[in-house]
Amino acid sequence: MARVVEAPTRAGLRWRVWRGGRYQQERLLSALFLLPALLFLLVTSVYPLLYSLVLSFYTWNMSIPNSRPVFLGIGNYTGLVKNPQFLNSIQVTFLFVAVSICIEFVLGMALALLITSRLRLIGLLRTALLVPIMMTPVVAGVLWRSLFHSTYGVVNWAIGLVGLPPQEWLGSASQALGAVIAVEIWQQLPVVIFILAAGISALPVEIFDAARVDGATGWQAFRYVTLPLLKPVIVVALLLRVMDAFKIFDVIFTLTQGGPGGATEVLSMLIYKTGLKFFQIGQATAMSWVFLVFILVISLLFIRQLERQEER
Amino acid sequence: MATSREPDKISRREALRLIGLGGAAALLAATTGPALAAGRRAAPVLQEKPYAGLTMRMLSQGGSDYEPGLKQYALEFEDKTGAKIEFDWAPWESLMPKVQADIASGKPQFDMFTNDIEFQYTIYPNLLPINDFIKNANYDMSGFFAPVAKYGEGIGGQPGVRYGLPIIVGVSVIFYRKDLIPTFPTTWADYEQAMAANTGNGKYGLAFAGVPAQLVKLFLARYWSQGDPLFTPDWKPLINSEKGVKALSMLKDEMTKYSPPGILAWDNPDAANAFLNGDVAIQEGWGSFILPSLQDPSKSKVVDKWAIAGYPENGTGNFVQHNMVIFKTAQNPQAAFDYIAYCTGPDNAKRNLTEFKMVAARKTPWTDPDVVAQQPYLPDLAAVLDRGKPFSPNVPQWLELFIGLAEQLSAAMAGKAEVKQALDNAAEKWTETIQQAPLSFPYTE
Repeated sequence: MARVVEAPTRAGLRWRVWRGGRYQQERLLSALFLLPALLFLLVTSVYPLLYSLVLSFYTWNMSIPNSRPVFLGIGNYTGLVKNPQFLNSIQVTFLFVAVSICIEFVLGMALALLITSRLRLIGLLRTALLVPIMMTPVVAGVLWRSLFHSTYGVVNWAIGLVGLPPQEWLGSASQALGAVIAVEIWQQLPVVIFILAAGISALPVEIFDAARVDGATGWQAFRYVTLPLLKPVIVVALLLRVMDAFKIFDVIFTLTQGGPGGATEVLSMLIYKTGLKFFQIGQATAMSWVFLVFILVISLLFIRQLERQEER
Repeated sequence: MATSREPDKISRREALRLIGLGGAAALLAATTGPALAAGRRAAPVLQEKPYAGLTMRMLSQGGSDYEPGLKQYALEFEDKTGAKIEFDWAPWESLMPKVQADIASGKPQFDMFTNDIEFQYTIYPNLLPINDFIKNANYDMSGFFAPVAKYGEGIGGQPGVRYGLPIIVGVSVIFYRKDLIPTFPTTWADYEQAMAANTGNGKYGLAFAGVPAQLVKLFLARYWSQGDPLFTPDWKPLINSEKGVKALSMLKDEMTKYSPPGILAWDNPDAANAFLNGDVAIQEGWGSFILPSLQDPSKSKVVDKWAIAGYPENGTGNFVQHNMVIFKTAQNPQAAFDYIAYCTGPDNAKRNLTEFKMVAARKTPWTDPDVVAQQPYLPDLAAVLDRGKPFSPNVPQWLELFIGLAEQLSAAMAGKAEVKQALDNAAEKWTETIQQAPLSFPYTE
């Protein structure tokens, strides 16, 4: 009589492997392979990060010869609350991120729908959209600085053709941030477009056919079919752009250097100036950690949203 | 039966032996010849080139006036002495972090550094005093502009101690259209009238670089013309006094009434271009950005129509000097001094001015008839340079004081702060910064 042998369960297999000691060996081997990378990460990332956290509780001006860190407790952090430049830079940063991301999303979605359509010459548009992201931010900043020149710039010449008076743009405290946001949108919009376009292309066609059969208009199809299905992609695109926008530096550095009058001084510029020009290490590290917490909280919100989408 | 080989045939062993001998001879000839030749050359090299085999490194500002000159002098120096100079050219913005990081590393890679004298206020503990080198080499210190000597020593409260040799100088100066303003005004009131008379129909009376860092020199000229220093002798700021408010209000008023719109985004080249295009009657700024182009018809619409003047009412231009300094950790301090002395000494002073078009720190060639024939504006510029004063808080945190003032000036000019409030903020920042490391020596200008 043939002996019926039951297929081993996973638990059974694990039991057997463990019993044989091979499981332990495999774990040890995996750890050994991971160790060099882990050590590298510890030395180059974790240690400097923790050291900077420690320094944020000290006052230390490295430009003063023979100076040493002096313990200050939370003085650097409480000082930030009363620091008008820090508060100004927080305001400018959040305004910059909020406005640029909103506009990028709306325009990005519209253009993503356009380039995924079957209109003629869309291929040309797709190629043209790549040009801004191929440019380094510094080059983009230098280019737009000359385009925005109040006397000799092309932008003022162009608006003059339609009868508008020349504007100060980067030379005006009320217009400079808008100009900087425009440059940021010009350069980063293609990123949003292509992420959303990839998502749109991956959507199942049958659902749209079904919606059309049910009599849905274009707008209704977009609102009730496209948007809900695209939600995970939208969250990813927004997460990437928000994190990137918070780190903006090169474009603003080349365009305005944070001026005029601090109108475009974002937090990254203030940290750079405090740490690498003034060498006020304690203050700069405290600002950096506050900045990190902001970005972490916002990123966690997005990630939580993504996880909710996946659960559904 | 023939058992022995024929006498004219060579055995394989002999053939191999011959080939080996021939090869060895060829190898010997190939290596010995050049070595002997080198040896013949080597003996005179050792005697004529005292620093043969030495490679020194210098950190300096890329795109500066003196970059071509220093490179050429390095080649000549290597030819004379055997010492090679390697350069690291970096943007001005990154020089301080770079030099600080190099010092903090514990194994500095640079032997020399060239840039604004203000850098010495911060890094002087790592620099070699060169007083003895100057004395031993009989280096001529007499031919420099007056402010060079006056403000080039005594850093860190050490009277008479010198760390660097000056290569270029600069001063904020006024360029004006002599066809529009035949006699340059001597009072601020007349100066503003001249601006007003030349504003209208798309033309403007005044242009300047309006980015924050460039506003300081404009403010200083108007402030210093009223006679007050920046600090009291015990380091209390005076910039927010009535005179400070008057100076900044004057500047803001002139910008609003007589300058092109958007000027707060203009940097030095933008202001220079406006003057070269004939769009403004007066430009206040650094000479190095405009002088090379003023008489070039391909770049200038104001050829032969311009002149140089100092600020009215004894207003003092902001004087700057770039010095060549030696680090304490230099491999061969004497060789380093010999190089910087070669670049800045009397023998190359005329070349600095004429061949490399630097605003050279030595005054002596400025009055040379041949030089003046080529650059007739030199005597006027020299007069302004002699009156110049540096932004001279001789403290390690000088950059923080400078930028602290610049930002508040920008805030006031942009309308983001009232003039008095902006200057009060700057004074508060200065007090806070100085108190981080109180100084034992009094403030002097």
